[in-house]
Formats: sequence, C-alpha cells, structure tokens
Amino acid sequence: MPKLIENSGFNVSIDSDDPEKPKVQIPDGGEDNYERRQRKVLLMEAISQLEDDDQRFVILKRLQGYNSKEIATLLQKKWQKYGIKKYNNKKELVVPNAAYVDVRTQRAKENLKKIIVNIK
Amino acid sequence: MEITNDILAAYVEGNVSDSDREEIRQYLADNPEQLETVMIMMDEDYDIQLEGSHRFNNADSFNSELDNLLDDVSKVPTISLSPISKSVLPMMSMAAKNSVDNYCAIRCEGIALRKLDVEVDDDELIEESKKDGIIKEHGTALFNIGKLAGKRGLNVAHRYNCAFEDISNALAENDVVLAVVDSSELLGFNESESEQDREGFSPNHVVVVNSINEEQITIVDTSSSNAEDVYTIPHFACAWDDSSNYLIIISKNNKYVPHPIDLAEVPISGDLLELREAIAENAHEVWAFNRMKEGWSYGPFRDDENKLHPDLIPYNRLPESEKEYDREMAMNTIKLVQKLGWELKKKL
Repeated sequence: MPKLIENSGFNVSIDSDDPEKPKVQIPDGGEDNYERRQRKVLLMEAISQLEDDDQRFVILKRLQGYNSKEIATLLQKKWQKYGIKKYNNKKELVVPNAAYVDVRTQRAKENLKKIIVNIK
Repeated sequence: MEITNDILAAYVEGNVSDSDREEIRQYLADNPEQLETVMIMMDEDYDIQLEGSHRFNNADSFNSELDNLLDDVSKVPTISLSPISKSVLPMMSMAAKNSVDNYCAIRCEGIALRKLDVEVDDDELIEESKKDGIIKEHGTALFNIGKLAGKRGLNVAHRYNCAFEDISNALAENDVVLAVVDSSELLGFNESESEQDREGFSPNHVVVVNSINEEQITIVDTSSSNAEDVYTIPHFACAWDDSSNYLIIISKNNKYVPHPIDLAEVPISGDLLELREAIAENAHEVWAFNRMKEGWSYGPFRDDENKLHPDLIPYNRLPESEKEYDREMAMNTIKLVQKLGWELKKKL
C-alpha cells in the first residue's frame, strides 16, 4: 500500500513499486530547493553568455569571493596582460577602480536578467 | 549520457545540442556542487588572482556568492528590461545603485544642507535615511531625494524636463541644485558604453551643480576623488538626459512657483475614460463622507460657520462645473500613473 504525502495540493506516491508509474521528483523542503537550484544553473549559463568581457570578468571574480576594490586590481592585471587600454571622453586613460567595477557589476546584473528571460 | 568534464566544457562554450543541454542542466541542478567547476571552466582568466589568495577556499563561499548574485539579479526591476521611453518619467528609479556605497543621494543632500547653513553630518543623515525608509537596499528612489532637506524646513522642488536655463536661474537665486544623471555616461568610460545605453536609460546617480556657463558645468560628484569635476555641456547633457532632465532644487527662498508635470502628451482613451468617471465619482464620495464626518450637511449656499455646503449631494446631481473639477483631478491622476511608467490594465 503506497503512502501518500501532500505536495502542493497533489497526492504523490513515493514508494510505489509499479514500474508503469513515472518517477516523481520530490522538491527539497529546505531553502535551496530544486527550483532555486535550477535558477542557479540558468544564472551560470547566462553568465557564460555575457557579451561584455569586463562584465563577465567582474561577475566571475565576485563569485570567487573578491570585493570591488580587489576586482579592480585584478582587472588592471587583466588589461595589462592583454595590453588593453581604455580612454574616457576626456581622452584620459581609464584605470579601473571600485566605482568602475560597481558600474560593470550593475550592468552585468541587468544583462543577466535579460538573458535569463530569453534562455530557452 | 555520462557527464564528463569535457561535456561540461562543451556546455560552457555553448557547443551542445538542445537535448544535451537540457540533460546537463538537470544534472547540474541535481549536483549543484558541480556549478563551481562550471564557474572555473568559464573563467578564461582564472590564473589572474591576488597574491595571498583572497579568493574563496570552500564550496560554501561560492554558494553564498552565487546566492547573493541570484537574489540581486532577481531584484533587477523589470522596467529596466525595456528601454525607458522618453515619455516616461523615471521617478521610481534608484539613485546611487551604481555608485560605490549607494549613498550619493544622501551625501548630496548633506552638501546641499551645509551650503544652506544647516549643519549636518553625513553619517547621521545616512542613519536617519535608513530609519525613515528614504534609502533602500539599492539606493534612494528619485522621488525621495530632498526629503531630508524637507524635514529641516527647507523648500524642495522636484522638477522634470528641465533646461540648463533652469539650473542657472536656480543658482542665481542661491538655491542648491541636485541633478540626476546616468553615472556611466557621465564618467564616459568607452564607446561600447554608449552602445549599451541605447538599450535604456539609467538615471542612477546624483550630483550637486556648483556652477554653469554656456560651455561647461561644474559639479560635485561624491563618487569622484576630485573636489569638483568640470564637464562640457554636451557631455553632461548626455548623462542628464537619462533622468528626463530631473532636478531637485533646495532652497531657503520662500518664493513658490508650481511646476506640475506636463501631462498634455499622455494619451487616454477607451476603458480609461470610464475609469476617469469612476475615480471622479469616488473622489466626490470620499470628500462628502469626510465632510459629513466633520459635521457638515447640505445647504443651498456654502456657510462655513454652520457647516453647510451645496455640493453635499449625490455625484449625479452635481452641476457639470463641479463634476469637471473631479474629472480633471481623475484624468491627471490616470495620466500621471502612466507618465511615471506604470501600466493600467482592466481585470474584469
């Protein structure tokens, strides 16, 4: 006799031995439930689709535990590594700082939302 | 399918079929610890690290950062997903969400208050703003800028669609002018930034205007290390344009000139016209209810002493001139809601 549990209004059999019945995915009860884990997967996929190199860089370094100031230093290293030089509208050489990183981070978050909405 | 590192690498590069991608997504949702591997594969510059290894050293740290990012992305307002039309005023946008500590609006008000001889401390203002709900997690909503000055008895005017002339006129009156700009455009990092900006306007930063002439504008930018920054008028215009030329003018001057938001161009038709009539009628009901609660009753002529009013009758019996007053108020409310970027939809 299968036991029945309540799951969002539906009765789901969890120990039926009927091979005809499809397997049922039971969501976790904790905070990081299955749906949230799926959203994290899509978020990671969206990061890989960020077109702007700096935006992808700051997001990945954020995930590695760095703060804005540290990421600015890392970005300087990156630009040095690839010989990247950027100039502002006053024709001054841009040196990434925490504010630059924060602007990139915010832009990245906005773009991530757009990408996630459109992910198939 | 067995999910190997090679398969994951192909997934990261987008070189898998749709059905394989689905399977890999399922695998990653079942095995979230693998997301860290995916992240490392994704980082072409993983070798760039700080000496002393500040980076994460356990899976919990990565998970926590990913959680934070997921929450932040979820909170990105949907309105920014489509270009903000020039016909919409971004009143609910957050100033300071792009700056270092999200407090630029508060710091600018601090500067304004001190200019107007009100001694305040920025840290105390920040605490007060948090307590009063003026500042939220992502910054200060544009309509909230000036509340600290208002609390201190100063006159505060919120004005959209301003011209540079409005700035110079206010400065000539010794008023303090705060302008809302797109920080990216103000800083003008590179050409690609202006490309991005075509996707939408980002009025996200407040500055104090110190002076202006025909060629340049001098501002105090609390995220800049300079005491003042000077921009050409076209450069500043580009950044200021993103807020629909929004100014907050703070003044000790008692001269009050109303500047209602121009709603003439906002279209209204169909169901919204019916809504206008319903709002107008209810506004009359609310007014009459409150008057009667205060002891007023119907009288053929207004008599403040005996609390009599000729309009304390059902809406349908009001003279057209009185109905028009309520209708105009209702019409302006509906138009304003649309102008500020909301959409009104009929449910039933």
